[in-house]
Amino acid sequence: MRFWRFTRGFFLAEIREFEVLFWSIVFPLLLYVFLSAVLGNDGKPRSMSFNLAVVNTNPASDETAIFNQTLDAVSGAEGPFKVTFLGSSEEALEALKTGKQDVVAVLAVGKITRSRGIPISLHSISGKESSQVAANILELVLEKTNLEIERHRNPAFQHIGMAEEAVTVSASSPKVAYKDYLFPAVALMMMLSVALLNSPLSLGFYRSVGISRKIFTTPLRPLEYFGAHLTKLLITMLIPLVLLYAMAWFIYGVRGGIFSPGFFLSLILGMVTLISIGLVIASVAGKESSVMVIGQTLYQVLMFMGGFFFPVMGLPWSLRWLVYVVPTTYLVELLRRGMGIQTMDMATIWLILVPLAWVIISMSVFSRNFSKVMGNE
Amino acid sequence: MNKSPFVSLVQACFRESLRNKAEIFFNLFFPLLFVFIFGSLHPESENYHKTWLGFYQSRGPDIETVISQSGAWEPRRYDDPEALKDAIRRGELNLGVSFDGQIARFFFKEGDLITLSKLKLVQLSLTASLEKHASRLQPMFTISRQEESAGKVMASGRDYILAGIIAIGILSVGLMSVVTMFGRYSKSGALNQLKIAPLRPMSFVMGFTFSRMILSFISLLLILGVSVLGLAASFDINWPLLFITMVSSTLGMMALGLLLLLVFRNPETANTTAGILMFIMHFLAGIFFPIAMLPGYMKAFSALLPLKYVSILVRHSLGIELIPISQFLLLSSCLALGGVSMLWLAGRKFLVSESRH
Repeated sequence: MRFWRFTRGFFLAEIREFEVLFWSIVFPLLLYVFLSAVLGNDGKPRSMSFNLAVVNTNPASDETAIFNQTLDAVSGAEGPFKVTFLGSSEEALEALKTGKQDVVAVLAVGKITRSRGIPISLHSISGKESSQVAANILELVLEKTNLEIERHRNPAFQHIGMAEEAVTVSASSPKVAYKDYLFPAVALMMMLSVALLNSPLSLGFYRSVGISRKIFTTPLRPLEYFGAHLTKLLITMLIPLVLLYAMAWFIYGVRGGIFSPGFFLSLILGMVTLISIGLVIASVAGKESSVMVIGQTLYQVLMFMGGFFFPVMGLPWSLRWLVYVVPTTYLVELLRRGMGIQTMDMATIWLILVPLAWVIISMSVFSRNFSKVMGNE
Repeated sequence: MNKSPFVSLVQACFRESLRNKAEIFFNLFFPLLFVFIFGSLHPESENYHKTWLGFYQSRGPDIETVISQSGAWEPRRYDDPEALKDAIRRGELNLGVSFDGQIARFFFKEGDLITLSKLKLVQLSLTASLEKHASRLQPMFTISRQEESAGKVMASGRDYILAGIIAIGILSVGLMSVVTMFGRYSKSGALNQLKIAPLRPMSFVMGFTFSRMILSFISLLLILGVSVLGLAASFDINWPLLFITMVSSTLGMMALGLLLLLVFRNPETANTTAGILMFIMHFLAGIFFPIAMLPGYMKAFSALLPLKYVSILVRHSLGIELIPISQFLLLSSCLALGGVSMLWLAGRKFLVSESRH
């Protein structure tokens, strides 16, 4: 009874902090909404829009009619381009350089020959992603138009068909969407925030202001204090997880095994691993500022090098070793496998053993400093 | 020799910042973490190898040449489609193509949404190239690509990102330092003590601002140094303009921080709100994701974010993307004026005691 009363007080003190409430609960949910909105269209350019400037000194010529028809098919409601016709290349390039246009197409109508067709120069800004993407799409559209024309006028045209096949690593791999792929990453982010920041910060705070010393003058034992701290962390992790589940299930229609026992066990492994790393931070960092510095650095490294949002296996070995060292690489893959998604060629046992190794090492470090961390020296 | 109170104040504020590990870390070293992570992840990184595209060909025009000519992929031949699929399963490849002269069949790993997002474009461009190659096409349109510079250098995608991280560094120093320091002073009661000290509010504000400028400048130099020396960024730096950008943008971001402190009475709430704003700005100001790719409502929202304008000023100063000088002056004046007005207001609000009114 005493334990639960203490845990309740601990938890309420934590959750009343606006920072905890926001960074542990609201922020990951916002990130889920944001990333699903930006990247969740599976490559369909439905939200893209680009400004295209066309310079055509002889728009009435028969030869450019097909070009105009092609533009009609990819502009306005039909496609991503918003077309503006400009009088000269200089004017168009100026508009490109000042960012008013994303790509410029210059038709050299006077140079049309039967063998070469209409020369079109596509101008884009070097290094500017939106300009490069716009030019790539327009180039592809024009190439396809060339091929369609050739297909109609040349009976011997050799058509190349396209097909795609998803290579499944296991027979049960289902089709996945970005919102499914993202779900385990957001769940782990919620845990990271609580384990790496909230946990060592609250332990450090209670130690530095002397609250833990006062607590130990009561009949409460250090292990009870530690148990209450862990229970509080678990509750603080479970609340946002429940909200994430509700959002994923009801709003995004995420299904794929997120209620399976294997997935829940993987979540528990994630919680245990990350909490134990957080306890190491509390052991090695004396001050709150040190906790913030170490916690934030680890938070970013574990998130980005763990491959939460983008692939990390293409990194050079000078950085890729970090991908193999951090436990989040294995935890996120384990959770994804629980949903039937496999992104790494690695036996599942390693996905369990590496995080467990982290738990063992971290708990060894923590147990050596137990009295110091609890403020009971 | 006696130092002027202003110099002493600047020294005191600056020393206080240097002693605060968290402040130093978040202002100076945290942006460097982004430089390393995003600089290395970018495909133009020297260490970053071109992506492999595995292929198997039984008949038809030479697909290896077509893949090589695309410039985006490094071809890798496999003996049969199953070997290709196994390589994808093992994670050696993200994408493979098997071509029998009639059909190009693309293989990717189920669940690899990053590859899937590029798949349609790759399929269309590769099959178009194969058809062109096979048909000896006389094209209606002969397309040539011209890369233009929007500034003084032919910038790369990584240069754009690094310039964005410099803008984030300025944001971090201006916004977070003001929120944390005023918040800390307010919480500890130091602001109330300053009210009764023989110190004009503007002197304190100026001293504090000047110390932040020094910090901002150090942060700028660190990021620039790592970008140019470590990541071979191709900047053509206009130092006077960069200095104006740094001063005006730091002032503008301080204004934002002070606005938060005036709106939220609790310094911790202001601190968290500043963190939220930083997060929103990182993603919506066009630094990591092009604004053109955002949904419509997010595009409209991004126009309201000051980081977007700071990154425009930084890109101009680094010679990546030039804007008319009138626009540069207008933007930097707006940021600087916003900062000066808010600092004056904050000085009155936080440092003038009731009895002085």
